[in-house]
Amino acid sequence: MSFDHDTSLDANSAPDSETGVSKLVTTHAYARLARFALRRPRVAVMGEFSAGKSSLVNALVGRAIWPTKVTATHLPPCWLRHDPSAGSELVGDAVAADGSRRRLARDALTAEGMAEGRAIAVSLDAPHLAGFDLVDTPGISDPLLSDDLIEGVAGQVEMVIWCTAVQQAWRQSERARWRSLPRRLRPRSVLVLTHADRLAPEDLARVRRRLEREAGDLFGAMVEVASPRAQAALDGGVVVDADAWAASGLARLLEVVNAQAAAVTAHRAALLTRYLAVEPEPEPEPEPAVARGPFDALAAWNRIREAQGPGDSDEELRRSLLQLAADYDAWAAGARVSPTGAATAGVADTNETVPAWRRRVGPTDGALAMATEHEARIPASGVTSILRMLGIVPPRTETAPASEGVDDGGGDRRDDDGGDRQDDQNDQKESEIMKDQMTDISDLKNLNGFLGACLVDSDTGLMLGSEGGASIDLEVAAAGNTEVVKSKSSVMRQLGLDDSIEDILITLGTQFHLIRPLERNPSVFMYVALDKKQANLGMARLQVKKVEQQIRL
Amino acid sequence: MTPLAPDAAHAAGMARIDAMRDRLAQALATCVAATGSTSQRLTALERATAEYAPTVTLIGQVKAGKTALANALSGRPGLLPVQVNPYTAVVTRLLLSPPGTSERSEFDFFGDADWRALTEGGGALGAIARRAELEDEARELADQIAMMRETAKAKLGQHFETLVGRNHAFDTVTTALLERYVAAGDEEPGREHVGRYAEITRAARLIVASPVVRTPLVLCDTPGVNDPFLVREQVTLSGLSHSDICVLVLSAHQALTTVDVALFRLCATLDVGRIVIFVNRMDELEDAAGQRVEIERRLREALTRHALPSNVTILFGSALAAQSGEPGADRASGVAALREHLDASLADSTVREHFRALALEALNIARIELLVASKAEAEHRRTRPGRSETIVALDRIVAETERQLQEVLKALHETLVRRVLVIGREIADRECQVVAEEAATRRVQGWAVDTIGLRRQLKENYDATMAEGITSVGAVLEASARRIERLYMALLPPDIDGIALDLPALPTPRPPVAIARTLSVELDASWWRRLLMRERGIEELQRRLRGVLDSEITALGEEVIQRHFKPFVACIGDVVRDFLSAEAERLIALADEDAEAERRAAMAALGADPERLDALAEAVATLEAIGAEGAGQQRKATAA
Repeated sequence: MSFDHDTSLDANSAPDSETGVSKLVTTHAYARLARFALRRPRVAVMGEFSAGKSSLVNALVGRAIWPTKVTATHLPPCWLRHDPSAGSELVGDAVAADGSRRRLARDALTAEGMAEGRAIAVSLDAPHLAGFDLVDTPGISDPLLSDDLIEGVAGQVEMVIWCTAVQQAWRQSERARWRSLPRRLRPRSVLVLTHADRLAPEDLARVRRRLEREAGDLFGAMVEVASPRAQAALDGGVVVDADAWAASGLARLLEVVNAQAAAVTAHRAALLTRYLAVEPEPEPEPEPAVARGPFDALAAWNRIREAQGPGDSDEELRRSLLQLAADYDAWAAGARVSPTGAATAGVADTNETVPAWRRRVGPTDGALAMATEHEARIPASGVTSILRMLGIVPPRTETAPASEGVDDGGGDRRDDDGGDRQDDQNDQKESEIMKDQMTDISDLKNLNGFLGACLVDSDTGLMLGSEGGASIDLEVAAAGNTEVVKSKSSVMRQLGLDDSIEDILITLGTQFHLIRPLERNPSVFMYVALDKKQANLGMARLQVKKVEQQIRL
Repeated sequence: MTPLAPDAAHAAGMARIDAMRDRLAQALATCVAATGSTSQRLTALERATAEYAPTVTLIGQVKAGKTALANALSGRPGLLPVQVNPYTAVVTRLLLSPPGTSERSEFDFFGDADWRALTEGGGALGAIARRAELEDEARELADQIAMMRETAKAKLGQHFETLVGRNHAFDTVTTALLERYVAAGDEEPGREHVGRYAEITRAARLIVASPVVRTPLVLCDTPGVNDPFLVREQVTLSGLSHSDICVLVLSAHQALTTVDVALFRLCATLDVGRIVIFVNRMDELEDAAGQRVEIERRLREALTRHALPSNVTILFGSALAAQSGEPGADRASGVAALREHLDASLADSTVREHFRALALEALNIARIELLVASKAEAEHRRTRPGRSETIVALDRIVAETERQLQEVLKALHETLVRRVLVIGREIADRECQVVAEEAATRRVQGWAVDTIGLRRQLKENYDATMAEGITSVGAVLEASARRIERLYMALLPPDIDGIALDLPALPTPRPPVAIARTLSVELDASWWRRLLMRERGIEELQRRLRGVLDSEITALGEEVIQRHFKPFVACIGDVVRDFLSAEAERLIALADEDAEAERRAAMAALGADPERLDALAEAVATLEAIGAEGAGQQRKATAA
């Protein structure tokens, strides 16, 4: 019952990875694998509806291809592919559920016209997409639309740009959805804070701090983007105002995505070196229905699933794809769990956590050379990433902690439970003690000239009880007077006085402040502020003493 | 920022509530003055009339602008702390009172039991996660709670738990004070005091002098739902059933998401007249006027699609703009319109209901006074029951009524439990059937437990059961009213033809909002899919599904009984007992031979004073009019 992409991958661990022996495949299959390995990485744009996805896509492709609205834009997933020959034209195909394509008339390339297919494939001249294909997805959390589609898309892409609007950033519905998507996407994906221009810098910093805390471990990077600024920097799809472009955050986003895309490509190329083409005489069979995009692959998938006896070529294709993906995931898992610094490929022969096949991959294997020949132009900053991905440079510590990979281990959890029980017992003890407590000081309210009172733990400055305080900040008073009590106690110690403080009276111009450490628990004191004109000091001291009798700690 | 001046139109809206209150208060005062009555019941009714304050609750997702809206509605700009991150951590009840009221703030910390339930089991959400064996969620909650305790410890010191079960009270309401208790923390240097007590504060109760209210009103601000900090959401939903009107606050950037639909559904257990949608933050849109039309169209479309009442009132505006301090900002920002809507619907629903119940109670007292006074000259009945005989007779009536009431309520409880169990079984059967079919066709992708149907069925059954209960209790009341009338007839002068007691207004059952709380089967949409992948066979899956549904529906039924049925039953008991004791007080006074002469003299004096008699008659007429307004279903008991 395997209709989930990732479940199948889990079950299919690379069988030959331990032996380190190259796989022998037909030249035909090899050609297909090579095509797969060298295709452009795919990046999906996801997020809730009205989170600024359309504006971001428009800025990335350099022109307004999508309408931007407050309400949801209802379009199927769109696969956007750079094609320099497209010129100023948009060339679009509607992809039906069975994988068949139909060329869309030019005037049908509008929101209404495109809504018919299960997916849309569009070729357009968008230089920023030279290094990767972009898959635009319908927004989630739209009550008028099911969000099942993004599961299918997530299974076909290497990374995700997740858009969240800064005004309402990162809510539980987004977080839950993102966490339900394949874990492998996380270290490569980018959390984009859209509408960054709508907040003041200090507010933006506040949002950023919270997101780093709440979402930092779910993404490889976080970028703030202001799409309107990006639009302003563009003219006919070309960046004319570099400063504005940089200020929009688009430059940084492209840098991050391109680096990750290059890393994916380099890694795939490295994987390809494990395969050897053997059959000298390839069958001159016709070009098979090879996957050309996520939706074709999805359709192939559906065919396999639905057909009772899948055709051999389909089955083979499926196995090849699975193999490649499984190898990749195994490699990624290896990179995750290996201790920082020890994963250098060339010297890691003794390291058990590094799969045997990876040790064969070194700079001399030509992986880098292949990668640089690839149509994706790898930016300079990407080279480090490639080396890092290959394990030649130690992975950054930002990659997920070791526990992530072994999350399901039962042993750890049992230990946790033991700890919890211990805590439970402590809690019980604490609350039993608490039941005997009584910190009510409301009787003080009846004092003549009463201004405010509180009961304070002088170890921590914690206010245990309070009453009144309209004209006095009792919180500040509690914390401040803690110092008074402490310093008086220390003076007494220095003087060698073996005595205790009964009370401390401070007389101001208009007020009396009375501090009285509890007889039975001197680390807790009562603090009372009185209006000097109305208060009777003698009565007040008596009353405070009386209230003290009622306090139990 | 300067406080707002009351808007004229709004003042007119509020004036209706005021007028209703004044009318009742005056009638009550006349009764007291005319009869020289010392009836404690009447005094209590006078106080209840003066102090009654309807409740408006603001709910919505995080960052929808609920707190800003509370500030705008209260006419106290910037009073409650707001920020760009989710900030409100505590349910805050503002009792808005006319200017000049002395302000006060009280902050309740978690009670011992609540705190333990939360910190040890993760509260309600934790219980759900455990029931459904959602280990990830349970663990995440546990992590968040551990973090919360750590934070509290860091802010408050080792012994912070000594505060559990207590409260802090102040004679002042300031933003700085509120920041410490109701605002989530702030990491900025110099602002460490913010949120110092937030983790352990359960509720804030504030008395706030508001320049824009003339009659007391409670405004309830809640932490936003859909907060990644799961714990915070739990406190929000609890207060909802005590709300007279819910304002569902949406953000104009992203009007109506799936979470809003869920929230709306939760409110929909209230009458539709008691919900209003306010689309906030309209000022941040580029083309507010144009997009407003589009948003409204889409909102109604989505509501229709989800079988929710699409005729709900939808208002647009900006809480921020309302607080700008510019003249007319209140109206231009749409906040004035919201206020008017709230006042009007409050006046038409709960306020009238409430005053009606009070009027009916006063009516029984006033009417008999009037009857006796007008017949004061009449000849005294020769043989009439004495004080002790009356008490014995009353005891019998009270005991009999109590017995019948308990019988009826017990039967009601059993019916309710039985119905919940039947529904549980039906739904489990149905869902298992569906799963079998879906699995056969492998269309599991879009499948989810039909929780809408489940809720609807539970709600319909609860409503039906309660309606039956009210009818039965009404019959019990009527029987005892007849017996009391017979007692009156025996005591009053013989030429009185008959008296008719009005039955007290029985409370309307509170909507069972517990039904709307998150169910385990909704917690994670992909959970069932994962389960379907993992399970061996369809029988195993069905067994598991049945187990989860069984425990979930039983838990839900238990919650409805504990949170709604039991309080409702207690409330009915109170009404019946109040009715009996008010009548007993009067009957015993009538039967008291010693006081009789004095009373007769007073009554004769009243009877001889046509002005006072007229005033009383008028007051009775007023009370009758108030009691008849919007009543309909209340039946009148007639003397045999």
